[in-house]
Amino acid sequence: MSHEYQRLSSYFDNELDDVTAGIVKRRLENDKEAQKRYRRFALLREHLSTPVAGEEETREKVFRRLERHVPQHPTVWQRRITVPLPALAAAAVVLVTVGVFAFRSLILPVASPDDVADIPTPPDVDLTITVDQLDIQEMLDWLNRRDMLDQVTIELPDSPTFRLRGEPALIRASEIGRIPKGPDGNG
Amino acid sequence: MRYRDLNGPEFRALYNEVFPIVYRIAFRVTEDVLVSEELCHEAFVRYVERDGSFPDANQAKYWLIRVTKNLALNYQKRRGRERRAYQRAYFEPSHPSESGETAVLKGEASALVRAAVEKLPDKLKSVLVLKEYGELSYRDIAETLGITEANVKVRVFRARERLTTLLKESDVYVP
Repeated sequence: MSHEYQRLSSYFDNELDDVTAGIVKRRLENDKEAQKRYRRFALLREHLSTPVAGEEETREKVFRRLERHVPQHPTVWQRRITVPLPALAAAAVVLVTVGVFAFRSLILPVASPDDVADIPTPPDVDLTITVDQLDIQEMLDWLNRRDMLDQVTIELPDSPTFRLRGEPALIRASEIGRIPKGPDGNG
Repeated sequence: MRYRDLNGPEFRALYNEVFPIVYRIAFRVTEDVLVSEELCHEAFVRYVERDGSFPDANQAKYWLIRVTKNLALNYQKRRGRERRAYQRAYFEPSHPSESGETAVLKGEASALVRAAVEKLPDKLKSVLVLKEYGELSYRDIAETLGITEANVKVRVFRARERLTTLLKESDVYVP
């Protein structure tokens, strides 16, 4: 029975297909209880579907308020952008790498000859110092002043401006200036 | 789809379609033009500021209806609590003293029926509000609430039955 009244409720809402609606309609014509319930549904609707006031004015009013509330042309900082996660990760890696190199080049000091002079040089230490060819004279003077080294090996750069003659010579620092001249008169 | 660009034709079309529905719901629940304006405005602001997009205009419409219905029912619930507290404080009777028939004659029955709607369980109240206040079809109600049409059919019927019981208890005439 409840199912029949449920169908009546749907019929009242005009939600039944034509065939079912026809069945309910015929029943409604002969069933007093169904008629009573139908009147009940109608009465409830009458009480609930009160006239709606002020819709037209409110519609425009709300729209204008909405326009004021929501900026339609956002600034650069208000604009929402979407960045894919892989691109964001790649950008982060590049940023960190560049940052590390920048830090190393800007913050970490570059040794100058004066700085080298301040380095304590205990005996029995093998030390390799790479010197720019323009500073070679300065380096040799410094070694003379120290008079602490047993031997110095000079590896000349493989450059077209030099020509190798014979084996590299092993010399003492104190002997600089007394190197015998070569056949062409150069040391 | 640009359903949130206020100057776009999509939003204006959606607004023109949905506003009468949400306003109707808000107004019939609250019976107050200014409050209804606030509730509709709040719903659309939430819509525009919402993260994520809707697959189509219908989903946006159902979302707006659902939010407005919730805002209106919450407002009414809050107002009901305040009214009851006020009545307790000033010892006012919570029900009119006239009989149900007199209330009908004086046109107060509608208020009693709406008060009875508020007493319904949330599941039944939601479908009845969308059906009677919003004048939505079963399909639209189902989409709005995320339930099946068959479920809507059952809930609407049960809501009417429960409402009838409540009204009879309140001495309101029902056939």
